[in-house]
Amino acid sequence: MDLPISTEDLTRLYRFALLLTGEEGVAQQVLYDACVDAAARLGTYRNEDQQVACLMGAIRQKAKTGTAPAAGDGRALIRAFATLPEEERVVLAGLYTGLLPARLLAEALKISLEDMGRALKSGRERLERAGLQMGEPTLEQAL
Amino acid sequence: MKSEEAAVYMQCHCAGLPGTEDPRIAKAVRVAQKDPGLKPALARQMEMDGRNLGALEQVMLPPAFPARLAAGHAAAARPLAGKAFFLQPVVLAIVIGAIVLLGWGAVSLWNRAQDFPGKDNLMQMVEVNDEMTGMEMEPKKDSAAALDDWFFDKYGFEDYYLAPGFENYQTAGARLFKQAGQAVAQVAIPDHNMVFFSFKAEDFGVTLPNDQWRTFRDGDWVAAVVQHDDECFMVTFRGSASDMDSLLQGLKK
Repeated sequence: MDLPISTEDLTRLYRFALLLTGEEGVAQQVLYDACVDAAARLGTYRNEDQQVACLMGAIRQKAKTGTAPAAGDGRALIRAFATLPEEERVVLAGLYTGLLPARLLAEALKISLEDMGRALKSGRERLERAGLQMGEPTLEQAL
Repeated sequence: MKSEEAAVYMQCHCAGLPGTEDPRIAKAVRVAQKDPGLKPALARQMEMDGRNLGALEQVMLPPAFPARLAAGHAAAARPLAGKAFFLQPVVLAIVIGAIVLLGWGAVSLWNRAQDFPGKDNLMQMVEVNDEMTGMEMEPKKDSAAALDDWFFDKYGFEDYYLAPGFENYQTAGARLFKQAGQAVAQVAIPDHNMVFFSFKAEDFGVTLPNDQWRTFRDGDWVAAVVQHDDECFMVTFRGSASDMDSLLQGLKK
């Protein structure tokens, strides 16, 4: 499939899908389906940010309609993300994958920058607690 | 920016990633760095983000995935089936354009098929209907066929002709008028609010195959004309071509 997306962005999108779904196989399928669905639309967007936003939206939608995120991944970060409410998971995954600047990320998620800030605050706090509960004061150590 | 605001906007900051380009985020970070209450929180946030980003960077796209995506080209490029295909905006635009063109083409073809010599003159005749008040006509209640003698006796008009099937319609009024110096018999029929016209074909340049109807529209009016030898009969009323077809079909029965 000839997508106007760089391998680097495709990798970031995969990380985004993985943080949303919590399982590699599901993340690959969600990313694949999103790429197939969005392929025809991507050419109609004027710039790369819009293309990325389109793919992120498709991934979010497909991850939402699938099963709840699995918490069985061996990596603590992925497990911790699985414990977050969907909105917090999406904003934090969007921020961490660096696919879009914060302002554009908020626009892509159709929320204000202020609301995104609140969701990120809550998400970070929850993520930290989840890491501590898993006995991983630093999630990096578990990866 | 107040500390409360900075506490919210600084959450959108993620060191090493795009995001600080937004002035509100950049300002929130500057405020937080100077605010004794926010500074430790920002430091914790940056430390946590740094760890998590480091961990996330270890996650790589499975090597087989690009090949799988490429292999899926055929499936992805497969034309969408049925409804999904037609719901694509580009396809919708093409379909709507094609329908408009086809419709326009069909109307043009229909008009061309109904074209005949002298049609413009007959259209002028039809337009006379719109200019009339009703006072122009002489009240005349009789069968349409009976007006043959009346037109001859009153005007010396010898070319009054009625197509078969129209003889028994009851009339309300009639007159003879001149169009471009040529005589035209005009009869008002209360049924269907029809107006009949009768005239010599050559006076108006009309040339039609004998006894074959031609229908055409002119504004709200629909007209059907038939030539028999050198005489013409035209029936008009406000309606559609299909209304006229129904009328003519009814006559044949």
